[in-house]
Amino acid sequence: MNRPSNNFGRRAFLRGLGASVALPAFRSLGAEVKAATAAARGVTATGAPLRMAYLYVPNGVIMDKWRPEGTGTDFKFNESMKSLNDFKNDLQIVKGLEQANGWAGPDGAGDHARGGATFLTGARPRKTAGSDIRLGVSADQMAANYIGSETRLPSLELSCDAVRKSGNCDSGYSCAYQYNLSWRSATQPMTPESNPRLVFERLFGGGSSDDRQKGLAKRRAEQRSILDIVMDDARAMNNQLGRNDRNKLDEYMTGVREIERRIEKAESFGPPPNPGVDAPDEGVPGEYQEHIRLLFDMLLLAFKTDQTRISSFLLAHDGSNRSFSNLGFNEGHHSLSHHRRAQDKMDKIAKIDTFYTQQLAYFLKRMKSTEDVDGNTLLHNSMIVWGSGISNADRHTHDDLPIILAGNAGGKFQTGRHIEIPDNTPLNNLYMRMLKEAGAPVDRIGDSSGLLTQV
Amino acid sequence: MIVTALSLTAGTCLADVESEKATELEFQKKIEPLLQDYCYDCHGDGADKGDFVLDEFQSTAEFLQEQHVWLRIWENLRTEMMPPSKEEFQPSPKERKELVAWIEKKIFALDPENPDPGRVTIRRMNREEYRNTISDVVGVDFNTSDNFPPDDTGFGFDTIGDVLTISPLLMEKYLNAAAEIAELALPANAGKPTPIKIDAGSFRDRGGSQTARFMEADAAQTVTAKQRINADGQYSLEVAYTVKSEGGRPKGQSAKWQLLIDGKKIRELDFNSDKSRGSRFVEKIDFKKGYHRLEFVIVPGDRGEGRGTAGIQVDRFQLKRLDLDSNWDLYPDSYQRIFLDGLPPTGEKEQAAYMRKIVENFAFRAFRRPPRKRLVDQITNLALAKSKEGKFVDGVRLAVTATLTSPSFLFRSETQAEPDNPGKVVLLDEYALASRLSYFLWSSAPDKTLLDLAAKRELRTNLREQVDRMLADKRSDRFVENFIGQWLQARDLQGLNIDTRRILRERDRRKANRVFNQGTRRDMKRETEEFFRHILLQNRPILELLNGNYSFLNENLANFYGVPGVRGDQFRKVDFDENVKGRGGLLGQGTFLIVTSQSTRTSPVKRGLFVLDNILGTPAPPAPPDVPELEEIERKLEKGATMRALMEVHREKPLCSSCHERMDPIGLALENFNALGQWRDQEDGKDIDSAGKLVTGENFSNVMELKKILAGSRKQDFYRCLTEKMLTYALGRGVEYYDAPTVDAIMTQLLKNGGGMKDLIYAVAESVPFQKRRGDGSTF
Repeated sequence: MNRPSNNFGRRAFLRGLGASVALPAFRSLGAEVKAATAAARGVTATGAPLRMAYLYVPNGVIMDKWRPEGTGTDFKFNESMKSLNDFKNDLQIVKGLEQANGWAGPDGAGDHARGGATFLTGARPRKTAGSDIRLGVSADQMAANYIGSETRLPSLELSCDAVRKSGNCDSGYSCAYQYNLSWRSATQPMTPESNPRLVFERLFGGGSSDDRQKGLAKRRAEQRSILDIVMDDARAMNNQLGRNDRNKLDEYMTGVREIERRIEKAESFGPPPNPGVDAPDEGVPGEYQEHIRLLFDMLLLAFKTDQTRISSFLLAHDGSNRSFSNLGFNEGHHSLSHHRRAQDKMDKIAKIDTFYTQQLAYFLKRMKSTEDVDGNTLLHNSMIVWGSGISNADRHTHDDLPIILAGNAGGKFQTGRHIEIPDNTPLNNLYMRMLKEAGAPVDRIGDSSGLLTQV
Repeated sequence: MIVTALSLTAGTCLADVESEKATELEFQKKIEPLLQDYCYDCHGDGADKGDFVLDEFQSTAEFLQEQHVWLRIWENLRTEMMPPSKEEFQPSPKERKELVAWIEKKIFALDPENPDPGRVTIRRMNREEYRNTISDVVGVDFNTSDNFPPDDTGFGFDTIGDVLTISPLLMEKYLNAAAEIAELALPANAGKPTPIKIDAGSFRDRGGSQTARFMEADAAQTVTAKQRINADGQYSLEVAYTVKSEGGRPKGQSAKWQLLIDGKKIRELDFNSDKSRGSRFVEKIDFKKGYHRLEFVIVPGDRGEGRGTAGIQVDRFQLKRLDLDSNWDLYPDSYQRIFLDGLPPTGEKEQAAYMRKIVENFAFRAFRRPPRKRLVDQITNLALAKSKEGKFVDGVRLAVTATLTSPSFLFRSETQAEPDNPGKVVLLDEYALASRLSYFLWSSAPDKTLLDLAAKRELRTNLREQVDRMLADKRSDRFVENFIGQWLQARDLQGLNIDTRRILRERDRRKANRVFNQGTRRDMKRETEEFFRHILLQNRPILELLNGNYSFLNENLANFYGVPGVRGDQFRKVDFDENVKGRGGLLGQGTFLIVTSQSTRTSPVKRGLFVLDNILGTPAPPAPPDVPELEEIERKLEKGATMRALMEVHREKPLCSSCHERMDPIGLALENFNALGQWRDQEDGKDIDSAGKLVTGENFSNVMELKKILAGSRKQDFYRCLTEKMLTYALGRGVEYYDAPTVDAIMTQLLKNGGGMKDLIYAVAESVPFQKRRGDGSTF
């Protein structure tokens, strides 16, 4: 195993991973065999896993500096997207998508809460600060219902928002809407993980890789017995509770069943693979870019070793007022985004937009330089959505959303284009298409009205 | 902050046709004329200000059924937001009261004699509560902020049952945490005496730069280490050291080297520069359980001749327990709590009985109520099976893991008969009451005293006494921190991005950092907590939160505020005289002033809004999306326009003015404080004009007068606001319209007895929604 020496920094430890570590762990997993025998669920035509990732950036973009010039295959990246030059032929920019439930409608203010809440659900969040929250099942979770069972983890939710602001969130909406992209049911958000170390442990187990394997079977048997007992306790409690309480307890029982399923899977899949790298340092990196990239590294590991094929990653919640002193100014992102076309502000936001596309470029580079089981790149065998639930944050618009679709879906997507589709096409139509490619034929997702065929 | 309840559906509460007719008549005779007089100018007769119209319903009956409309009328009347104060024609206090009472009685069907306790969703512990509960019940520290994802919040607090969800991820973490905590509580090496080794570098002087790694003979110095001793007993102390020279070897230099424990001299050694050597000594010391101060002291003697200096290097410092006949004492506290009768017996039957006892006892404390027998059986059997394969303690560890994974631990369950019948109102059982109290005031599980009282059903009858005891306990600090942390957003202070240089107009980063730094922020948070704690523990009037002419400062913060005469790191109560401008009360504290500022400047809008939201309880609706930023307005106005001039723009547009005339005057009154909370009379050479007028009509000329008004004619608003925040935090749900009688009753009490902070805590703990619960479902 190619082990970095101890004096490698937090950043350095994974850097060489892409190409130089030639998929040792993965091959030994026997994934090829599995891929070939699986029905066409979550795999490409060549039998490699087909992954999907949804990456969220907050507060829209300055479209004038973002939107590429020219359409079709003949387009040029604009200022904020220059860093994607190397990936021009690996992605598509889709113009014309909308999340219609993001608009105020009868609900009044709260566009940031709705921007985040609708992004993966296409559903209208019930306006409440805390009682009876209700949204809809998100696209990634619908996919997980179909193909989640193919991998150790049905899906992986990530976020860089490790700290929450206290007090109320956006305009009478509970904070749950802003901080959770993925929703397992209309009432149950999938809490994202922000600590890279814990993501690693979740994927590959804690302790050293030797320790991880030791006594595994026994620990599993004990966990099973514990889960049996606590489930019994939950059932006993359930009989004495009212409707809302039973819903809460149901979340608990779902969680228990999920662990049971994972234990079963672990038995059929064998022990978790050795990722070939050490776990990242404990704690959350203080620097934002490092945090984002470390989580991208984890996501790459998860995809590469086929621990999951589905992920959502909230780089920051919508309405985020993070300040980017590393870019040379201190004003918060959200404050700036109400720019009223003041040039200096728009310039600053464009810098933030550039920063965020640079992070995407980093991830795409890693994905492109990693070889998959079928000899293609990981990027080739993926569908990666990058975007925001708000287009123009100054006016809180939810149409003409900035959406990048990277990866070839194993050859199904025609990359290298800037495409214009009819205005106000539901963003969920794109998800419908992705789920179809992934072998998750759902009838509809939120407000979807059909299948996006143009990509 | 009254929340629109979603259960508020079209009125079925008007029981029968007879009374419906009577209500309609009453409305037409008594109520409608009042609405015509005071409301229809803007919301009737063709006017539809704010898209709110009161006279376009098909019939009176239909109007009376529009509960959402009535909720808005009621809210605005109650908080005197409507009619706007600038309208000359105002209802008399009596008319206002009559209207409010009529709506509550006839439309909402509220019964002040039997208030609806409301529905509280079963609550899982949040991260803070989990950590505290583990600490108090098990006796180990488990860092939940690193291990668990942040909790979702609702209504501004992290105690809201409805939004505290359990995702599969969190469930996994609970299971892993339980196993880890069991390991921490029952470590495999427990009971074995391990020597306590203290590194020479842990001995430090006050400045922190000098350690026992090398103590120069030419300077008087003391280095100190603090060490916790876990059990009373006799210890052997071994110290190994070397005498060395540095930077040359002077001739004839001498000094004394002393070892002190808790200030008492244990050993003294004369040494000199002429001889380098290493040696060691051993002393027998009796230690009591607790922290001890260990010190090395150098007393210089003859300076000697030549360059450099001799000195002493401590090579080893080690404590070993000597009297080992009482082996049990060596087991950590967490171990002893779980193994309540000491180490396990040997016989199989005896072990089985002991295991059962351990499981039952631990589950009782962890669940905060007697565990179900079936669960105890199951866990005991699991644990015994495990014990048979290895040691007894292995089984106990598994039992602890299972207990801490079960829903009875993770959720605060409150059960009742007919849980789905909203009409079924019951008193909480005493164990549930004990938990409500302890999570309210300690953010943790009830202790033995509370559980014992609950077992005897004597908690309810001794409620005040227990509240007093709990507040006097150190654990109530958690309430102060968590409540202040969220109500006043003090939690955010440390992490906020603040452009200190720009605010101070200071280019030099280091100079700016000397004026204001993380230490200043810590001190500010501490100030607010100490201030609140004082008012709470001394049962001072709540209004002192607004107008108390004192605060709690240390030298650092006093210097920053420009308050003279405070020396030292200790926080102490400081009374302000007339020379100290603006201080006194929360509005004069850095915590409030900073969390309501932008990173580069003050924000009168944020400050005003904060006061409306969190002091007066009359929040303004959110701004429309395309409002111009101040900086943009500034460009249009003459350069260097005052903040007030910039804010005037709000008055130009009627759309903006209706809300901004509520918040701007408050925010502008606070302009004498900069974005770091420092007092200023001028900004950029121009005098600051902080005079203004509240939307409710009161005039003030500066922030001192504003505070008087808030604590004077607006005091009922503050009482109501704080009561609602406190209820939200304590109950774990939003305050709904049906809580109006409860809130009113608490306010009446506060007005009657002088409104002490402890009185408010009593009133909340004794209130109907805290004491009772009802079945789930809509009450309409």
